[in-house]
Amino acid sequence: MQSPTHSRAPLSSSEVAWSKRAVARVALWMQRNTPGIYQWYAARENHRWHSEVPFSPLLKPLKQCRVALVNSGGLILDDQQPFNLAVDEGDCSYRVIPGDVDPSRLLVSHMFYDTDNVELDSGVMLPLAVLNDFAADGKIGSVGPRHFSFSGGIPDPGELIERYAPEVAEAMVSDEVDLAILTPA
Amino acid sequence: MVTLLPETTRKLGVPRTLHFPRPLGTPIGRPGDRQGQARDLELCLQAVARLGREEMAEYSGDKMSYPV
Repeated sequence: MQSPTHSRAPLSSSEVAWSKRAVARVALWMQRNTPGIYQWYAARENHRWHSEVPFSPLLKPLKQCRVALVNSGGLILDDQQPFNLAVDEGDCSYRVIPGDVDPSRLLVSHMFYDTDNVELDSGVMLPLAVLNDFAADGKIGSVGPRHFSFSGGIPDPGELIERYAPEVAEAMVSDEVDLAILTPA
Repeated sequence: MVTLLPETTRKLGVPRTLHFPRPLGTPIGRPGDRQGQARDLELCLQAVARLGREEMAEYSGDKMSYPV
């Protein structure tokens, strides 16, 4: 996998300005060296997006549930367009990851977290192999046919809320998914 | 949802979350540690079944803590 955190350019559909790459480096430095300050900053920046989020109780035993995974770590397939990391408002779109994907085809299109671990093993962000083990062992009913990947670091999630998140929710309903586990970067 | 930024998650009103106190970039287990990834994912499933609206559980020091 390519690493957006290293010296080479991040995997983005548009070239990222040096100033934004510098901001990303500062964010990574804060995450590593002053995590408490980063937590405080992230909470302050994002609290305005608080809203009434629907709560859906689990209606079936886990052993009968079809499970899907949703991540915001910027994972994409090698033949998919990278996220556009250059835009100030963030890229709200998503990529579909098939349930039977070959993990070696996964790349990271993100620059606001340390991608070293997910580059070594995408299972830390998208644990499909483990989920398939759970289905084989009968811990869950089945694995959804489609899983969904978002870019994180979205300062303005308006389009995400209005368009893309509902699309993904509808896709999971269409796939008869009972339960989704969301993993952020 | 797994959270690595619990203060942000609380302020956003996320319906039910499991906090793993670890750096960003590694929400589920460690690289190459399938057993650890399985443990974390199983904890997520248990949390979904047990947590109520806007509740957050935490897994720290090999111990799972649910809100009382």
